Amino acid sequence: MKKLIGIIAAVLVVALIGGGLLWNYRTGQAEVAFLDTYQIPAGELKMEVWGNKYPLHYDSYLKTAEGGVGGSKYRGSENYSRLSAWPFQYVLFDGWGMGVEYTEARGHVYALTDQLDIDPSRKAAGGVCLTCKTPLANQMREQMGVDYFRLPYDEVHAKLPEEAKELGPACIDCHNTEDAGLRLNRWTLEEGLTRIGKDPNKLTTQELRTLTCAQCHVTYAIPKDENKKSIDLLFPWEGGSFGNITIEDIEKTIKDNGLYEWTNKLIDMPLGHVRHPEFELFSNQSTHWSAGLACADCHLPYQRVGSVKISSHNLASPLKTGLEPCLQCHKQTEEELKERIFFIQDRTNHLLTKAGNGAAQAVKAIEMAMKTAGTDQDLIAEAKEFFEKAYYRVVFVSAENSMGFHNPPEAMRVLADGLDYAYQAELKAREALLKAGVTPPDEFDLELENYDIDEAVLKEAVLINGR
Amino acid sequence: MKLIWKVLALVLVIGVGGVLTKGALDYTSGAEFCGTVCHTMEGQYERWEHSSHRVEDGCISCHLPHDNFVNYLVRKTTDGLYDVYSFTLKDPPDRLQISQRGADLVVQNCQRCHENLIMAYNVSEDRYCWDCHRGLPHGF
Repeated sequence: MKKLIGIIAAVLVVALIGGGLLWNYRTGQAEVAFLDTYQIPAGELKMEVWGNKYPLHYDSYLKTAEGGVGGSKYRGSENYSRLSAWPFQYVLFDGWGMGVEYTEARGHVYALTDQLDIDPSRKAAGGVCLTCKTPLANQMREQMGVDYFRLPYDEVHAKLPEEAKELGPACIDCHNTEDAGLRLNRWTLEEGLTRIGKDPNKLTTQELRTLTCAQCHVTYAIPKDENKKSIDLLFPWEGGSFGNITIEDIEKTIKDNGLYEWTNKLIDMPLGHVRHPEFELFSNQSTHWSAGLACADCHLPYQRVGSVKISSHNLASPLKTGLEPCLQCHKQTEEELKERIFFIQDRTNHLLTKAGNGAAQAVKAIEMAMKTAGTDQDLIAEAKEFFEKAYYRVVFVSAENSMGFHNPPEAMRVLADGLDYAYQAELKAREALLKAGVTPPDEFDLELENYDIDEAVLKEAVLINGR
Repeated sequence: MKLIWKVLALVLVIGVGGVLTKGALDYTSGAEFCGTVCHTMEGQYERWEHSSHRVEDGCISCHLPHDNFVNYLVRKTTDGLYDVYSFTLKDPPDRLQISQRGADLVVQNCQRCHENLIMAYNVSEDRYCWDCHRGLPHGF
């Protein structure tokens, strides 16, 4: 019996080998890779040197210099006054550089040169402003210590080597020199990720395709010493987690740590600030985030160039490049998709304009209450508290670069809260006025004639905003 | 005399057994076998047959490993037996969805053939080609 089983097994094995020999089995192809004809020197800053090895990527990057005018209804990356387009911001930002010049940033190519050109009041915080504009930020901070944050902007800028004097975000900010794999080049994000319990050393490629952008496209806060000098730079994400950083977390970090950076002149009120929270809004369970997409999927879309596919480095709104990445998944026409995008953005803008004007009304109401003799100081303090909440929420959306598109429902939630808080602030101020025997007007005058408004931008904006 | 018979028998077994094994392997490796014998996969078969990928070997080009012969045979046997089990003893759903294990295999095969095309960018380990290229090659 044993012998029989043995024979059968032997026959089976032999037959299998025979079948295998006869059968024309095909193996995989040999591994293909870029010929390593050129090694980029470690720490190389110059993009044209990287271009020697990656000419197609460098080529696509150079296109960002052309701008990309048109396409986007809310004029992303076009050089215009964002203050004049939403004039309520003149009131909200009265008292610091943001209220003097707030010009839409152009592409990465101009990041540093545009900053050199901007009104000096915007660089009052000091060398800290260079953190996102130079790939040498890590090194500068290590060499200079707290002086890097504190010293005047021009003084710190002068310390940059000649080749980096006009160099904005560069290849080395996102790629390593060995094989162009993705990497992070800012201590700020590494600290920020640690703060929300995400290990910055254990990131997948797909996560890095978002997080390389999140090195700068996030909100930040600049802690100050007793003399109002900048001493650090951090991402106010306390209490948040990866994929869930909310305006409430940001607000709480600012309040708990006293991260007040400026004082609104009209109501003499210290405030923190919220800056371009693209990563925070998008990663907070937006539709596209939940579908597993990264920033790069839409903003560095794949493109065929010759025989290979590259990730286009012409970073811009897909609206400026024919919605190429959108159409890969959404099987509608470009026009239909554009209509949908504008539908979402128009509604965000509608609520943003309302909430923003509501917050500006609150400022004016509080201002009047403060100027009136004998008003109840407690009521004014309460009004200010509500206004602070409204301020962060309005700015969270107005500073974010997508007019809500990165996460429509969350943007609307934040704006609705902002509008609510703005009204509560105004009500408290009105109550204070009434108690002091003054009848407040139905609508407070924003006194926009005090500001240097770009009429052309305003005129166009009124057509879009309706106000 | 006895030895000659033994050798002849061995040659016969190798020959006949080999041809039969090859026949069985070929038969069960064709797209027609997957697509028409097993009628839960008719839709996939029809769509694949009209796609640009029809010039390849068929279902197995993507759905079996091609790194080495042993892996190939093992996977063919286990997956094949599971298909037989599902089709005969379970009630397969109208909308077939690929398993995690199956997806991880297919994506390797995408990369195996399209290696030249994708060599110029950083490929995400945790994303599948068809997350974006949704219709390829037979929809799902």
